[in-house]
Amino acid sequence: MIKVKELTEAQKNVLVGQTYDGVQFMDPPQDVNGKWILSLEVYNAITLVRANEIGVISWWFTLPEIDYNPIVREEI
Amino acid sequence: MLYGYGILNNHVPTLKATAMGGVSITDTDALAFISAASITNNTQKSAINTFVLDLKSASIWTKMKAIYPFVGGTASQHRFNLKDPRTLDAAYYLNFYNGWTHSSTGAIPNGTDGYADTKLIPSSILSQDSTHISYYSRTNNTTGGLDFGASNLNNASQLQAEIKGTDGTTFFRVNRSVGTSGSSTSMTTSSLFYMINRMSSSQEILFRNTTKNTFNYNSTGLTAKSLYLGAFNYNGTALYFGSKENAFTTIGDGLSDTEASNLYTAIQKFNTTLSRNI
Repeated sequence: MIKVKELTEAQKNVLVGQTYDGVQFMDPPQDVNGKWILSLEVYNAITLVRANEIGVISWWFTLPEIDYNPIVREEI
Repeated sequence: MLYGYGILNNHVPTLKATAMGGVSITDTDALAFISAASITNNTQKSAINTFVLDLKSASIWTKMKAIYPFVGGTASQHRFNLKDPRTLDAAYYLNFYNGWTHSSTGAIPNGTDGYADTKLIPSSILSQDSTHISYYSRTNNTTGGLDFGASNLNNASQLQAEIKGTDGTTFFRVNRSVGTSGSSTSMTTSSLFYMINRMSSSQEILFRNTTKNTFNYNSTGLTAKSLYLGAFNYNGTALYFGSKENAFTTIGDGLSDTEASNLYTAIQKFNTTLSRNI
């Protein structure tokens, strides 16, 4: 099972529009249960310096890790 | 060496050939892209020049709105549109979001949250009965997820495709609503040159490398949402994340069978030169 980090909506809103590496942006989606999620690839790509720059350092290391439950396309 | 090249104005001097690090670049559009994307590898430069010349020779170049060669190996280089390599939304300069892996072989969305916004809005630039999108996939899997697409609210008008889903079939629509089923057929692999195409109001066409399948579905309209790569843009929200490595994408007018074959040949030659062909 793929693991992801779970965000609150307020935490998601802080990340939207920010880059995690100076080039690629963050835009956390929702899983099938309506939880805001961030992939571990992005989570692990953020440096301590970058986390401090975008003001998430206070909660970055406390984000819970959950199973990824994707929204699956309906056959339509 | 560049001779007074002004990328900000997309101005390219009239030159028969420009020597760039020992490689002769004879095409000004190729030169503009190479300079904008900071391509330094001679093999890559030569491949880009040859590709542009091949498309112009086959009279396909003018039918393209966006060409993403995913060459250079980094996110910043993979953002550029070969057709218009300015760093503007109006030039369909890609924005990458969330999880992607970039390398010399292309760009891989992670299937969890990665997608790219082309900023290309079909209703603004494409024609309802003349549209194509191609995706050179280097990944063979059945994990599902849409590999590109966009739709208005309530799926009133879709342009989208899943190259190979969990059931082993492909699924796509070209400029039509969900009022009728998606075009679908069994796939032996998802590692291929994949192209969906519409040349008329009554049929949409699938090319798998050079194999053609025709599906009888009427067009109903163009979506007003920008096309995403690596996921589906549902009225502004990214959904159904894909995971297939993209080693070339084109978006543009509908292509005849001959033009589609020539596009495949040019892209395959490009990727063979870069040692990343499938």
